[in-house]
Amino acid sequence: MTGFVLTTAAGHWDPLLWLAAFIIILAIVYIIRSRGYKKYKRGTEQTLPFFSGNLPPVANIRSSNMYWGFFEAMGRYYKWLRRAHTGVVNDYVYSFVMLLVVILAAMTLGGLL
Amino acid sequence: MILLEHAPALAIAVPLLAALATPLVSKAGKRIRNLWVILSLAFAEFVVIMLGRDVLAGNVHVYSVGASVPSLTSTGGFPIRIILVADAMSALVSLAAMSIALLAAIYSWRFMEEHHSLGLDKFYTLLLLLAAGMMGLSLTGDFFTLFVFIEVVSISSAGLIAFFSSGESFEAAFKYMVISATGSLLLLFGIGLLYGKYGMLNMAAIANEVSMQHSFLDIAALSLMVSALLLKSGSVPVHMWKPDAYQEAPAQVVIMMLTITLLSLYVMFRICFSVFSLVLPVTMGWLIVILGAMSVFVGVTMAMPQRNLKRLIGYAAVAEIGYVMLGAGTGLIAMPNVSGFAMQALSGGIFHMINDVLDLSLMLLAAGTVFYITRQQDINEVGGLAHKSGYLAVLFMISMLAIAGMPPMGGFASKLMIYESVYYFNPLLSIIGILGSIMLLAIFVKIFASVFLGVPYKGSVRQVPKSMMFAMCVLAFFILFFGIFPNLALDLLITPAAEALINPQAYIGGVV
Repeated sequence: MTGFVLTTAAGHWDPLLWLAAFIIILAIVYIIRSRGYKKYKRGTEQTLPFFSGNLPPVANIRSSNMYWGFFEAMGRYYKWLRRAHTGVVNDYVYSFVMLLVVILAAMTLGGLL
Repeated sequence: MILLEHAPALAIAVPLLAALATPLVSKAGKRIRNLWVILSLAFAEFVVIMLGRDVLAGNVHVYSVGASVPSLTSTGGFPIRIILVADAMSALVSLAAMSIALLAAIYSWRFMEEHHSLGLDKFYTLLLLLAAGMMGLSLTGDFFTLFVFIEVVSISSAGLIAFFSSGESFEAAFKYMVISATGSLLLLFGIGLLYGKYGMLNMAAIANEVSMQHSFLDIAALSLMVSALLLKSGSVPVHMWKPDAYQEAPAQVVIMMLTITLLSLYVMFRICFSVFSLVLPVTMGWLIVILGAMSVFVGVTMAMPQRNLKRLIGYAAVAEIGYVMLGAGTGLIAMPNVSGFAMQALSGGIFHMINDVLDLSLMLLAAGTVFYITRQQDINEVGGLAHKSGYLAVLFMISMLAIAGMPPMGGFASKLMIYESVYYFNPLLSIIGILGSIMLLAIFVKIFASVFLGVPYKGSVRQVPKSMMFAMCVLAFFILFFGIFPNLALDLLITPAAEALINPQAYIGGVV
C-alpha cells in the first residue's frame, strides 16, 4: 500500500483517505437529497430557476461577462499587460533580447561574486 | 537483445524513416496510411519502454552512432561520433514524448478526416518528423545534434501550425519561425563558443573539461543557450508566441508542441545540472525561480480574459511551466548538495513536467473535440454541451481539476511537493504558486460553466468519434493513476530521474 501515500519532506498525503472522505460526503449528500421534496416534477415550472419573480434569462451568461468585477478592479494592470502583448513579432524578439541581456548580466555578476 | 542494444537509435530512426515513407504508403489508401503511422509510433513506443526499463535499473545506456561496437564511445578518451545517451531522466521524457505522439496520431484518425483535401500525407509526415525530433532532443548526447533536432522540431512544428492554410495560421507559423530561428541562432552561437574553446561537442566530455578549467566564455555560452531554451519553452517574458501558435494549430499538434516546450526545459536542466553544475553561479537557479513565478502570475492573469479556448489554454500552459521552473530552479539553487527540501522541489518539478503534459494535453484534446462537435472556437457561442456530450464534460472536468492542482489528480501531488519545498526557500514563491492555482481553477470553472452547463447549445452537435475518445480516456486514466498512486510514480519514475539529473559524475562517467 506504499504506492498510495506520498511522503514529503514535511508531512504526507494519503489519496486513499481523501477518496474515502469524498465517498462518505457523497453518501451524505445523497441521503439528504433523497429526503427532499417528494412532489417534485421534472419539466414543470418547479424546475425553473427562481429569479426574483421575473422570467428567468433564456440565454447563458457569456463567458466574457464572468468575473467582470475582477477585470474592473485590475483595470490598470490589464491595460499595461495588454500593451505588452502587441502580437507584433518584432516585440517578441525585443523581449528575447532583453531576457538575454538580463541573464548574461546576472550570470556574470553571479560568476564574479 | 539486439533491439535493446540499438534502442536509442531506433527510437529516432523508426519515426524518421516512417515519415519519409508516409507519402509513398499514402498511395495505398487512407486507412493503410493511418495504420502505418500509428503502428510505426507504437513500435517506437515499445522501443522506448524497453529502453526505459533498462535505464531505470540504474544503467546509463550510451549509443555511438555508426560505431562497430555501439557502446564504445570514446576511443582514446575523445568522443568524436554522434552519441546518444539514455539515463533515467532522458528515458522518462522520451517515454512521455513518444506516448503523446502516439495519442496524437490516434486522435488524428477521425479529427483530420474532413481535412483530407489539405493533403493528410503531408500532415502525417510532419507529425512523424516531429516525433523523431522529440526523440532526438531527449536522447542526444552532443550539442550539435541537439541543434539539428531543435531545427527538425521547429520546422515541422511551423508546417503543422500553418496546416489549416488560413491567414491566421500562416501568421502564427511565421511568428513561430522567426522566434524559433532567433532562438536557434543564439543556441548555435553558444555551442560555437564551447566548440571554439574545447574543440569538442560531446556534452559529457565538455562537462568534464568545464569542471577543470572554466572561464567567462563558459558563462556566456551558458547564458546564450539558456535564453534560447527559455524562448523555446515559452517562459515569461518570451511567451508571446505560444498562445498565437496554440490558437491556430490542430489540437493534436498543440499537444506535441506542448511536449516540445517541456523537452526544451528538460534540455535546459540537462545543460545546467549535468554539464555546468560544478561551475554554475547560484544566480542561475534564482533567475529560473523568478522567471517561473512570473510565468505563473502572467500566465494565469492573461488566460483569464481570453475568449478563444485554445488561446486560453496557451496562457495556462505558460503558467504551468512556471511551476516546473519553480521546482527545478529551487533544485538548481541547492546544487551541488541537493537533498531534503531541494530534492523534493526538483522531484516535484520533474513530476509536474509529466503531469503538465498529461493535464494540458487532455484539456487541449477536449477543446479540440468541442471544436469538432460544434464547429465553434469562441466559448461565448457554445453552452450546455454536458446535456449532449456528458462523457466529454467529465473528461474536461478531470483535466480542469488536474491543472488547478485539485485532489485526487496527479497535478495535486506534484504541486504539493513544489509548494512545500519552495516555501522553505521563500514563502512568497509558494504564495504566488498557490494563488496561481486558485486563479487557474477560477478560469476553468468559468470555461466549464460557459461551455458545458446552462441552456443547451442550439446548433447541431456531432458524436465524439471513438478514436478521439480513446486518446482522451488514456490521458484521463494516467492523470487519475498518478494522483491515486503518487508514491508509485515517484519511486519508479521520478526519483531515479531526479537522481540521474543531480549526479553529473554518473552522466560523465557513462560516456567518457
